[in-house]
Formats: sequence, C-alpha cells, structure tokens
Amino acid sequence: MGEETEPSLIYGLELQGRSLAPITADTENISFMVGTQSLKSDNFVYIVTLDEDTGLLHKRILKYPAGEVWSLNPNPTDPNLFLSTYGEKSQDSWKKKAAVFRIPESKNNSSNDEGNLDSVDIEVQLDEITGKNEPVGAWYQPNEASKFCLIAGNSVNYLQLQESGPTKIWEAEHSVRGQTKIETGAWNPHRHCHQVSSVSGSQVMTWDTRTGDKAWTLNVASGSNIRSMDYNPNKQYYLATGGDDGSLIIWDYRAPSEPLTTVREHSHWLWSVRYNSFHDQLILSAGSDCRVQLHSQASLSSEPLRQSLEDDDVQEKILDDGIVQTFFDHEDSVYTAEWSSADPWTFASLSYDGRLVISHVPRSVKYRILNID
Amino acid sequence: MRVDFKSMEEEMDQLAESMSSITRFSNQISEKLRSRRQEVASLSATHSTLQKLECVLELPDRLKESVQEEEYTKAIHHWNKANASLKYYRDMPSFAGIQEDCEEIICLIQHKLEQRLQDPDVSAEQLSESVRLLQELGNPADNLIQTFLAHEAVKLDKSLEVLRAQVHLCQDPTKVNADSVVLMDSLEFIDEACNGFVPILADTATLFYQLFADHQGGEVILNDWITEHLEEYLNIVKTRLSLDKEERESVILVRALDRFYKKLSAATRNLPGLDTCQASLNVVLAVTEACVDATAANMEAELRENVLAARQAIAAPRTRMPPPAEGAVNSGGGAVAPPGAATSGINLIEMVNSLQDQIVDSLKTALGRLKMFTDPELTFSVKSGFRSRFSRDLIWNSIFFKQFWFIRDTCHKFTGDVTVPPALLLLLSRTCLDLHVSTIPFLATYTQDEFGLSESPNLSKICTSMASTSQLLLERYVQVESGDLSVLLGKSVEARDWLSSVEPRSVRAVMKRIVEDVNLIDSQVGQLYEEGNKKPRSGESTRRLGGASRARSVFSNYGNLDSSLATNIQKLFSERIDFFTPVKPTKVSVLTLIIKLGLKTLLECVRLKTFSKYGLQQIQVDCHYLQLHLWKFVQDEDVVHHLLDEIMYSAVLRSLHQPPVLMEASVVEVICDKV
Repeated sequence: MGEETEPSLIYGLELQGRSLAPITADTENISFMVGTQSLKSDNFVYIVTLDEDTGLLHKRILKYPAGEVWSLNPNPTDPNLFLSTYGEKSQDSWKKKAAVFRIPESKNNSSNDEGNLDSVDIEVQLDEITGKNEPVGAWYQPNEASKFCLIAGNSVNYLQLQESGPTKIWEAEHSVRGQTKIETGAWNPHRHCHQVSSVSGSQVMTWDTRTGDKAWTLNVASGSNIRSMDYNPNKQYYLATGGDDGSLIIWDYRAPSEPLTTVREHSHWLWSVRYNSFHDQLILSAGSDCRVQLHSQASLSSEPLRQSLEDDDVQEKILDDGIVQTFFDHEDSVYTAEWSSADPWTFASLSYDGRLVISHVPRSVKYRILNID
Repeated sequence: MRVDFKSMEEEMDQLAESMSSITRFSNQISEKLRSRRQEVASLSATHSTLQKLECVLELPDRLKESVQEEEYTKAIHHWNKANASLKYYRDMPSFAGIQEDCEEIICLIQHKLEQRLQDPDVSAEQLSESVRLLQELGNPADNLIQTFLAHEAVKLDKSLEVLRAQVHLCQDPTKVNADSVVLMDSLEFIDEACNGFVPILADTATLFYQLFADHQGGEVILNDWITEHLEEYLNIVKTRLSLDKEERESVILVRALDRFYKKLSAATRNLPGLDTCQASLNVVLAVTEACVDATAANMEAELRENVLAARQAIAAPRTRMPPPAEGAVNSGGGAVAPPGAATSGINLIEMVNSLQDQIVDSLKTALGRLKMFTDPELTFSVKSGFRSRFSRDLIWNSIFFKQFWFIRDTCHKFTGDVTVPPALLLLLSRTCLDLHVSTIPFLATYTQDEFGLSESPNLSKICTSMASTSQLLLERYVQVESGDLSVLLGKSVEARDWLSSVEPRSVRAVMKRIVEDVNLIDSQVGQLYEEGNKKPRSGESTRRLGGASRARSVFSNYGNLDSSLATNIQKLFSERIDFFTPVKPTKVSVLTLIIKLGLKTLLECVRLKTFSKYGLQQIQVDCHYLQLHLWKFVQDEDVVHHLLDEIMYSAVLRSLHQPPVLMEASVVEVICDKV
C-alpha cells in the first residue's frame, strides 16, 4: 500500500480568522469559505477550492466591507448566498450584526489583486430581528433554504426569507443562570429538520420548529460549558458535544442523563466537533490546544460492522473506537474544523493565526470503511 | 544269646495265640448282645422323638411366654429349632395347627421387633438384638439396613436439630424463642456438636459392622448414609462458625475449630473407607475463609470511613474560609498572600500520613488476627492442605491484594467524581504514590515474615496500577484546579463591558483572587510533593528585577508592527507551548500546568471580546500583575511570560483603537505595586 497519510495542504491567510464553512450547495468541488477577523485591516472572505487532480488550492478572494467576520453559513442550495455574523466598527463603537450576503458572479478569474477584488454585499440585513441582542450565529435549515435559525443573545429566532424581507415565525428564549448569551446552535437533520438546538452554558435545549416549543433538554453533568455540537447525520437521536473540559461527548438524547461515551483527548477547550456526513464513524474535533483530532466512534455509529472480506458469514468491526489521527499543523487555537460537503475524506481547519489546513482521512481508514482493504 | 532269642520267640507265639482266642470270645459275646442293643437304640430314638414332639406341642405356649417376657431371642431360638420339623410334618393336621399358632406368634414377634426399630428411645442392645433376630427370621438384609439406618437417622436428626436451632439463634439473636434456648459461643457449640452427633455416628457405624458384617455391599450403603448426614452436619457447623465475625471472637473461634477438627478426626478414624479428615479440613478452611472475608470487609469499611473522614476534614475548613476580601490579601507592597497552610487550615501531609498509618495498621491488625490460625499447636494448621491454601489464597489474595485493589478502586472512583474537593484528589494521589513506592513492598515483606512465607508475591501489577491511579488523580487535580481558575478568569472577562471601561486605577479584584488561589494551590501541593526542577533564571533573580525585565515584551508597541508579522516573529522566538505535557509528581510541574491552562483560558476569553482604549489598558495592568506574581510558581517562567504576551497581543488585536494606545510602563508598575 502507498503512503499512510496524504500530506496536509497549508494556506496562510493574511489576517486572523475564526470562521470556516464548507460550501454545501457545491457538491462537485471540495470548496470552503473562510472569513478573516481583524479590527485593524479590511477583511476578506476566501473561497478556496481544492483541485483533486493537481492537488492545488484555488483561491477566490472577496472583500468583506461590512466588518470582521465572526461566522459563516453558506446557503444549502445557492452557492452564492451565505449567512454571516460580523463585527461592525465605527470610530468609538463596535457592534455585532448578522446579515445574508451575496457573492457576485466572478468577473475576472485570474486576478486576486487587492484593487480589483469583488466584494460580497449585504442582501438582507437582519438588524431588526436581533435588536439589541448580540448575534451569535445563523444557520440555514438544511432542507429548506428559505428558512433559517438566528440566535442572538438569549433568543432563538426561526425565520423565513420572503420577497418582502425576513419574517419571524417564532422566537424563544434560552437563558441559563450565569450565562450571558447562547453559545451556539445546530439543526437536527432528521425528521425533515423540525428540530433546532441552542447551547447555553452546559445545556443543550432543542426546539420544535413547527411550534417553537421546547422539545427536550440535555445537561452536561460536570457543568462544563459546551462550545460546539453536531448531530449524527445518519443515526437518529445521536449527537456529539464538545466543551471547555476538552472532552468529546456522544449522547442519545432520548436518554440524556448519561452520555454514551466521553473522550477526553484535548487539553484545552474543544471548539469544534463535526460528524462526517457520509461515514458517521468519523468525528472531527478541534480546540484551543492547537490540535485537530480525527476520532473513530464506530461502535456508536449507524454502521458499526462490515462484511468480512475473508468470510461471507462474518461481520467484523469496521474500526476500533479511539483517535484515528491527531493533526499538529496548527500553532494557534483552532476554532473551526469542517468536513468537505463534496468529498467524505477531506476536511479543513482554521486556526486563529489565519492558517488554513486542508487534510485527509488516512488511506487505511478510508479503505477499511469502504471495505476494500 | 541264641537260646534266649529262641525262648523269647516261643513266648511271643504263645501270646499271639492267646490274643486270637480272646478276640474270638469277644466276638461271640457281641454277637449275642446285638439284638438287645437294637432294642435299646430304638427305645432311646422313640424317647427323643417324643421329647421333640412334646417340645413342638409346647412351642406355642413357650413362645407366648417368651413374648410376654419379651425374651424374643429365646423365642426365636426355639422357633428356629422347631420350624424345620414343623415344616416337615406340615401334612399332619395336628402339626399344621401348631405351626399356624406358632407362625402367628412369630408374626407378632416380628411386629414387635419392627416396632422396636421404629422406637427412637430403644437401647443399643435391644436394637442390635432386634435387628439380629429379624435377620434370623429371614428378613432381607437390605430392608433391615434401611430400617436400621432410618432409626439411627432419627437420633442424628435430633442432635442436628439442636445445632440448627443454635445457628438460627446466632443468625438472629433477637428471636429468642419460647424453648429458652441459650445462645452458645463457638466453643460450647462445638462441644455440643462433637458430643452429640459424632458419638452417635460412631456407634451406628460400629453396630452396623457387627450386624451386617457379612452383607455384601453394606459398607457402601453405610458410607453413603454417613456421608449424607456428615455433609449436613458439616454444613451446620460451617454456617455457625462462619457467623463469628467479631474480632474478639477470633480466639474462641480458632480454639473451636481446632477442637472440632481434632474430635471429628479422632472419632471417625476407625471408620474404614471414610475420609472425614478432608471434609473437616474443608470446614476449617471454609470457616477460615469466612473469617478472612469478614476481616477484609472490615478493612474496607475502615478505609471507606477514613477516606470519608479525610474528605470531611478537607471540606469543613473550606466552607468556613472567609471570602477573599480585597486588600486583606497582602499588606506589604507586592507581597504574596500569607502561606496557604494558614489560609486553608488543612494539614495535608498530616492527613496523608495518618491515612497511610491507618492503612498499615488496619492490615497489620488483620494479619495479627489471622495469625492465630497458623498457631503450630493447632492440629489443622500444620496440615499442608490448610497451610498452602491459607497463605496463598487467603493471606495474599483475600487480604493483601484484595485490600490494595480496593484502595486503588476507591481512589480511582474519585477521578470521575465532579463533586470531590480537589485537596482530597491531591491527598489520595500522594497516598497512592506512597503505597506504590514504599508501603506495598514494605507490607508485602512484613506479611511474608509474619507468616513465614517463602514465595514472594508479584507486586508489579498492583504497584503499576497504584502509580497510574496516582497519576490520574494528580491529573484530575490539575484539571479541577485549573478549571476553577478558568471559570473565575472566564467570567471576569465575559461579564464585563470592555468597550466602556474607565481608566484603570487598580488591578481587578479577580486577579488578586487568582494569585491568592494559586498560592493556596502552591501550599497544598507543596505540602505533599517536592519542589521539582525549575529552569534557572537568567540574570539576577530578584522578583522585581525579573518582572521588569520581562515586562519589556509586554510593553513593546505592537501597534507599530504589522500584526501578522508580529505574530510570526513572536512564534519564531518563543517556544511553542505544549499543553499536552503530562503532569509530573512535583509541585512545580503541577503548578506550571494549572497556571498554563488558566492563562490559556484568559487568552481565549480575551479573543472573544472587543476592547476600548481603557479596556485594553486594564488588561495590560492585569497581565503585569499576574506576571509579577505567577512566574515564581512555574518550571519555566518564560512560559508564563509567553502566555501573558499572547494575551496582551490578542487584546491589542481586539482593540477598537488602531494603533492601540497602551499605558506607560511606569504607571502600570505603580498601579501593580500599590496593591
């Protein structure tokens, strides 16, 4: 067999960054969107696309004149639209806002000169919705691009975008004692996406989008804050959370009193946890200990066993549970790590110092999951 | 001579002649007497027949008489004599009548004998008589054996019942029943058990061999029967003696066991084909095992109590600790908080020592108690079957290793407990370390010497496990303490509006609290763990100077540098901070890790905020203050400086005013000294 691991591709942004997202509408290319976060200089959004044949990274740089980028969430069907929260700075004040942005059609492919750059424009301003609350993030409903969830301060908003502008379908409040605001949110991809979760402190609260009522809650017993969560895309009721104690926890939300498993491999905050959307044995985590880790949780996945190659009647474990690989490519805190939406074996991670790394699942693991080794 | 011989020959011839004439005469006489003799013989035959006849005729009466006098032996004797002729002359009506009468009576006798066999109070002689007679009456031996044994069983059951009652009473002493059975101690119980059951069993066996000596397969039946009852008996004894759990009962228990073993072995020695030695040794072993298990359980309970006591002692002063008041922290300029021992009021090292002493004492006491079982005066203790099992299985596995695995498990459980006070984690970590390094090997040698055991046990597994538990507990301590610091730091940044800060005039209270807490941690860890190596400081090592020289990097004006260039240059020159360094059992290592993780949290929180000019300056003051106070705790002070630099750098990046305006270094120093 060839080399065990393909080398990671490293690309340095010129500014700090904490937002990275796969462009879900583009199912052909391995492409990600990255935003910079600087109060000092002008900010940019990078659309990076990996050419699988040449292994080269194509970049499209776009100005982001609204301010510093805090979060990005591309539209699930239209690759030219995305939701974003950003920090808008004026002489003496600074305010966090949220908006829908549009990426202009590319006029000139070859030029990335600063003077010639296209810029992304605000399509729909969401100020009225957030009001005084500080926006935390906005996420498109995965199966319906006209609807999205916007979290600001302690309030969870379910919105619909119409010709006339954004309409609020419902608003709910999720406040936890000792917490100033909600930390993050996530869509449950199962059952036509009628559940959306908000995370505050060590609590996950899930809302029924049809009514705006609470569906269920889940609490981390240790009281450690949750920084990130993700639903298992292939196995109903299962989800993963990661938080300040560095542990990755897998839950079955029907039995939320006890986690299914707790893996503590990060030595500082776990900032990002993501299930692989094709092979839910694989989970990606990243944290402020500068590490990106690829975990296997095959025993809790939708497909824990595979047909043995030697014996037709035997089923064997696909993978043992545990760390598949730890990636040491970053030297600063990694706030986001995301799987590509087009290729199940590729993922990107971004550290605060602006280093974007595109990495791959080790071949041996890939072949094992594909049942061809 | 020849003349002499001739004359002698002549004399001999004459003698022969006379002899033949005598013979002739005697023949003539006997010939004449023959007819008479026949008559006499027939007469005497008739007489005896008549006598027999009379005897037969009288038989029913005699038998009746014997029955009335309960002289069954005589009766059977007569009957046996007469029976044959009666059978022979059965055809004659008068004889038949007699036989019927007799058979009736014999039936009665048989019945009476059988009744005797049913009667539990019958004496041994009567019993053996009955059995013998019944045998003579032609009852099949197999049936008789069953009846006989059943009869004996009643007696055995009776004695077992007494013992059973004792067991019940012992199990539930409150249930003093109406029969006013008094609870016996083990020794009395064994006396009762040995004097009741064992002799009965021995007697039965003796009698059995007398009665059924020539019966084929009788021995097997007897042995089965004995085994069955013996098993029941041994079970009862075992149950009763196993109930003796109290330590003070050990002496009696051991004596009781010895007596039991001796008596049972002696009593049944003359039973061929039956090995009660092994069975009774098994009982001794089982009782010993129960005693050992009870001892082990006691030790476990003791340990649990001791750990709980330690936990309470740690928790108690904490709640009484006054809330950290501002200004009260230190009096002299820049002086650190008073030594933690005074603040915390817990003497951890004393607690570790006492917990260790308790563990050692508890094991020594247990071993002392069990040593009684190996007294060479005890009959069973010298048996090899007892010796090897006692030392290998009981002393090592059921006491020694069990105890240390229990300690290890108990300690291990705390690593997953979120409510446990951190000082307890530290204390247990140290305890496990000591156990691993010295206590376990020491106690193993002690145990070996105490019991004269030649083979030394394999300690590597338990020691390794203790060591890893110690490490886990220490890691958990770091995690909890750094978690607490992180929460404090995180909240202090998160809850504040940094865009509308006023000009900083003092260090924020939370920073003082942090330093105070670090001092407390330092004193706690310092009590239990040695200092550890620090990287030598460059230059003069007075704190003030160090602080000032270090301050340079913090106050270098980032605003003038291109920010990404600044990051890269900084990265070039500073070593990367590894948060993964495993914690070592030294004070410096523990403190370094806690401070590193705490400062990293501060860094993360700062990056989530946006700062106004004064907000940034407040961070500057706070960082300087932390720098002044935290460097001395860590292995490599550069780590603290580097992290604080990064916090400062991040705050600069998050500053609304670009280029950022920092405070004069001298002003910062004045503010920090003022505290």
